[in-house]
This record gives sequence, C-alpha cells and structure tokens, in this order.
Amino acid sequence: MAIVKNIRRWTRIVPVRFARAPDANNPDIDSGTPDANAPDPDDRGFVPAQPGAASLPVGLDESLAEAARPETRVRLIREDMENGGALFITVSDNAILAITSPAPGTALPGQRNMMIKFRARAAGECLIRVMFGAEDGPIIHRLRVVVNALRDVRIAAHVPTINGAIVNDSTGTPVPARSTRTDANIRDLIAQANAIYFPYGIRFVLDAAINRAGALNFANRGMVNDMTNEFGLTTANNRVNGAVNMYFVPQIGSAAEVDQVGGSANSARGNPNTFGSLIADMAAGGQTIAHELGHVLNLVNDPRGQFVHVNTVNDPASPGTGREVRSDIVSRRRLMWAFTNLLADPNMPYRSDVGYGAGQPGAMLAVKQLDRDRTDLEMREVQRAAARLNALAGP
Amino acid sequence: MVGGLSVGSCQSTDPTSKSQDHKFREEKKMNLPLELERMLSEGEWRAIELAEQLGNKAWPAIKNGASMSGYRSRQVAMACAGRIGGDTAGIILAQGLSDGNVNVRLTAAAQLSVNPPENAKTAVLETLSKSSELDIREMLALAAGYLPGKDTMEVLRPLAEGKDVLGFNARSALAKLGDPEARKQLISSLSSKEPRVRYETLAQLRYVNDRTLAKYAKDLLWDKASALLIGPERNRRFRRVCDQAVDTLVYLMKLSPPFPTTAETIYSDSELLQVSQMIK
Repeated sequence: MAIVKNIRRWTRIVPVRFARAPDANNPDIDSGTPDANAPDPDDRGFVPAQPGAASLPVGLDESLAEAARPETRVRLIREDMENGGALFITVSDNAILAITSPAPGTALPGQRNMMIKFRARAAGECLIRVMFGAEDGPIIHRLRVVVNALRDVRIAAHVPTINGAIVNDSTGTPVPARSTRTDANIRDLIAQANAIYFPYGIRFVLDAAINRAGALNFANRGMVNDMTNEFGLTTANNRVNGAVNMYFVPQIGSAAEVDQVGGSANSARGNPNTFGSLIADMAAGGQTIAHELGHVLNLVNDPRGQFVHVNTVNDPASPGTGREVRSDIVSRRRLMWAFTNLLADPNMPYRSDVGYGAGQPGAMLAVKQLDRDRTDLEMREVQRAAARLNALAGP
Repeated sequence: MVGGLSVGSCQSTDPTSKSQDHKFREEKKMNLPLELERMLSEGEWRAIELAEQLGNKAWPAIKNGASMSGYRSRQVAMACAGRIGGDTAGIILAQGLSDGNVNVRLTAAAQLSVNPPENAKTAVLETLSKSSELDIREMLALAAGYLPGKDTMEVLRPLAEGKDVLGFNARSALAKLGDPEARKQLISSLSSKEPRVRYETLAQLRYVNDRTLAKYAKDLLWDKASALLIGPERNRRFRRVCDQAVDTLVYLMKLSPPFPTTAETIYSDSELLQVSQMIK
C-alpha cells in the first residue's frame, strides 16, 4: 500500500474515509439532496470520540421483511492511498446488517471513490471494517453503524384562515388569508422531512385529514407573528393531543418581516402545552420542515440554554435566530444550522456546498458527543423526545 | 320573521319518535365496543378516547387489538390500556414491552412510566435490566419508582451510578422508594451550581411526591437563575428555577393559588410572593 504524501514535521495519514453517497450508482458524486438511504456519517472529531470512527445512522423499518427493506449506501474514498491497493469489507456483527455490495469475498474496485451497499437486519450497533489485501487482512479503517428502528411521530396538519389588516408581500401582492398549499404539497413536504429523519429512526406520520377549518383573528391577514402570543394562540387552534401540530400559514413574523421567516417551532419537552410548528409558504423544501421538527423534538438541547441553533446563541441583543458564533463547514452540514441558505464565498467555494447542493445547508444530526460541544447527541435527543410524546401526562 | 317553525326548534309530533331515538342510541352504545375494535384494527388514535369512555367494557377489544398483525393497532391498544389502567392493563403493557416493533414497546414503556400496575413489575424490571434501548429504559426507570420491593432496588442501584438521563431517573426512582442515599443525592442536587440541574431536580420532587420535600422547594422560591429556554425559537425566554419551584410547591402541598400554574408560565414577583405567603 503505497502512500505518497508530503510531510512537514507531522501529519495524520488517512488512507481511506467514509462519506455520504448522494447518488445511488455513481460514487464520484459528492453533493445531492437528502436521501433516506444515503445517511451522512458523523465524522466529526474522529480521534477523541469513541469508538474512534465515524458514526453512520441507519433507519430500520421493522414492519418490512428483510428482503423488502431498502439498501443503505455509503462511499469509501481513498484519501491518501493508491487506487491499486486491494480493499475488502467485513462486518463485526452480521445479525445487525448484511453487506450487499461488494459481493462477499470480492475486493472493492480499484478507484478513488467506491460504493458500499448493505441492508439493515436488526436494531443495534456494529462496525463495517475495511480490510487490506484480503478479507482476513489487517483492518485499516472502520465505520460505526447505528441501526435505529423507526419511531413514529404523529403529525396533525392545519391550514387555518388568518384574518387581520392586509399586508403586501415583497412583490407588492397582498398576503392571502390562508396558505395556498394543497394537501398533496403538504404530504410531499412531510415525505421529504422523512427522508432526512429515516436514518435517525424517526418517521412522521401525517393524519389522514388536514384540518382547514381553523380561523384566527390576528394583527395582519395571513401572518402569525411568532414574537408575540400569536404563536401560542395558533398552536392552540384545533389542537390534537398526542401529536405534533403543524400549521401551514402564508407568512410568519411582523408586517416588516414578509418573506423572511420560513418556519418557527418550540420544543415538546420545554413547552408541553403549546408545542408545535409554523411553516410559511416561502418554505419550499423539506429541509425547513425537518429543521422545525428538530426544534419540536427538543433540538438544540443545550443544558445551559445558550445555543438556539448549532451556530447561534441566545442573545437578547440579537432577537430572532440569535447571535452567530460559528460558521465552519461541519456546522453548515447540520440540520439545525440557523439559516435556510449558504452564501457563496468566491475565495473558498467549497464552503457553500457542504454535500447537499450549492447554497444548501445540510441535514445531518450529530450522533456523537464531542468534548464540551453542547449541541451534540442530537440523534439520541430526537429519539427521546419522540418516545415521550407517547407518555401520559406526569406530575 | 313571521310564521313557521324554524328547523332548529322543530319538534316531531310522532309519539314513538322519542323511544325510537332512545333505542337507536342504546344500540349505538351497545356497538361501541365493536366500534373500538374497528378503530383499533385501523390503528386510529381516536380509539384512546373511546376506550376511556367505555372503561372496563373496552377490554375485550383492547386485548384483541394488542395482538393484531398491524403494529399501529398494537401501539394504539397499548395507549388504550394505559389510559384505563389496572391489572388487565398490566398484563397487556407487560406483553407490549416484548413486542417486535419499537413503537409498541415505546408506547407500553411510556404508559408504564406514569402509572404502572403492580402486575407489570416483573416485565418492567426485566426490560429495565436487559434491554439495549436507552429511551425505553429511561422511561422504565421511572416506572420502577412506583413498584416497591428489594428486587426493584437491586435493579435500580447500579443504574443510578450513571451520569446520564437513565442514571438521573434511576436515582429519582430510588428516592421515591425511600432510599436514603438517593434522597440525599436528590436534595444535594438542589444546591447544584448549574441552574438547569436545580430546575430538573425540582421537577423530580413532584415525581417523588413526598410532601416533606416541599421545604427544599421552598428554599428555591426566589432563585431567579435562568434555567430552561421556552417559547418559539425566535422568541425564547428563560424559565427560572423559581418558576419550577412554584409548580412543585403547588403540587406537593396541594395549593390553589389565585392564578393559573402551567409548565410554561414565568411567574411575576407578586405571584411568587403569593405562593410564599401560602406556605408560611
């Protein structure tokens, strides 16, 4: 295994690494929309975090027979090693997952970017190991795989009519009293959010009927100002207990904020009586819905209450999404990034494409706990919050 | 407006109408268990309210639902059983803990975490000690606190050493069961330098539900440290330790303050003062 690399003083050698596989067939594709079967490995803090490997979340629909379950895929990239080195894949526990590609005993192709596919068998953890030279050769890399059985979270969707003073949107058109979304559009958005959450073991199940009967009288027509009590009044409207109540509205915010706010939500853990989410018509994709559902499922769960998002902290001087404290590319890859887009950086173009399309923030939830990062363990927290939605009210 | 009877006030002159209507209602009532079974077979969440309304008459349908092939049916059956409670619920929920689908297991554990029937004890303790599913174990640790016995203490003690949520819940359960060391730890957590720890511990005093602990909550009635962000993301406000202290005092001492208390309320100074005067 020849490794050709210039070294000044010291450097870390990375023969191979795992990465998300946005395209089902082409391992050379680096970027693409979220896909339930192409999870994003939490490869942050490789060395300090146990078990010294990236962590890959994988969803498991227990209601499907094993053969009917979709294949999960992940890429293996030869970072510092030559393409000619023979690499084989093994699994530490075949009861958890079965490798479907490459075939058993077959080496990975001699190319930089390689595709690995497998099928989940049972919930639990195991390691995918990269062996050098032969199936029983030395292990040169490994990936911790966490297979999560799907936890259903019920969603009750509402499309209320909001009466009030007429306000024009940014194009000069009056904001309508009710969202223009169709039932099909709402179902499609939830399906997109499910593609993001599937690896983390969460599936949102929309009630059969979407409630369009609600009526609210607020300051501005078609607008819910989430900086006032209008948020709580909305989430109380036709509320369904035991479900996440999601309200699709034309606009969110004050009259001065038209076309600025895509969504708003509060935590089911901190707000047991009023939790829910607002989605504005400007939210076109499932990423915004998934982000707001993250808030409902108690993200970001900072025990000191400082972080509002993975990159912003609570600061009364910065009302809204908080004060920005970091802008690294890993934070930009995370679902709980505060903003709906990434501005292009002409000097460092890689910063505006973090693997989910140009200008698109990512959809990753943290699986690991890194030292002192109070925004971590997101996967565990969404599972915990989802589980407790089923509980009877306690004291 | 002149003439005629409005539709709303129209009365039938048919003497048999009332009895027929009564008969129809009776028939409908008689069929409610069947309706419950239909709802369960379709996994409808509305079944929970109907089961609660039917009470003990709901059990045949719930028992059937708990073994239906669709996991959603079994999941809703668990929620129905938990809502009614009692020994039959204990048998069904215990069965749910070993179901092949995580949603059924979670719903069973969630119901048991609040009001576990005694006959579910063996299943609760066994799942608590053997399951690899952390969220289920966290909820069952709370269930164990309602199920006294030496065997419960033995299962909880090693778990209580953890610093995670499971450890916290296990310590709370031990405290609820009267374990002196766990109580000591719980009380010392009320002096933690972290406001969130004081806040969460105050909430656990309600779970422990011992009026003698109210004096510790009283000490935190003027602790205005920021503890938990509540409200929508763009309008976050801190709930303080003292707000949780109010909720805990109201619960433990069965107070009826002249203002509403909720888990999302940030109380005014005058409301804090009123509570402090009520517990003097």
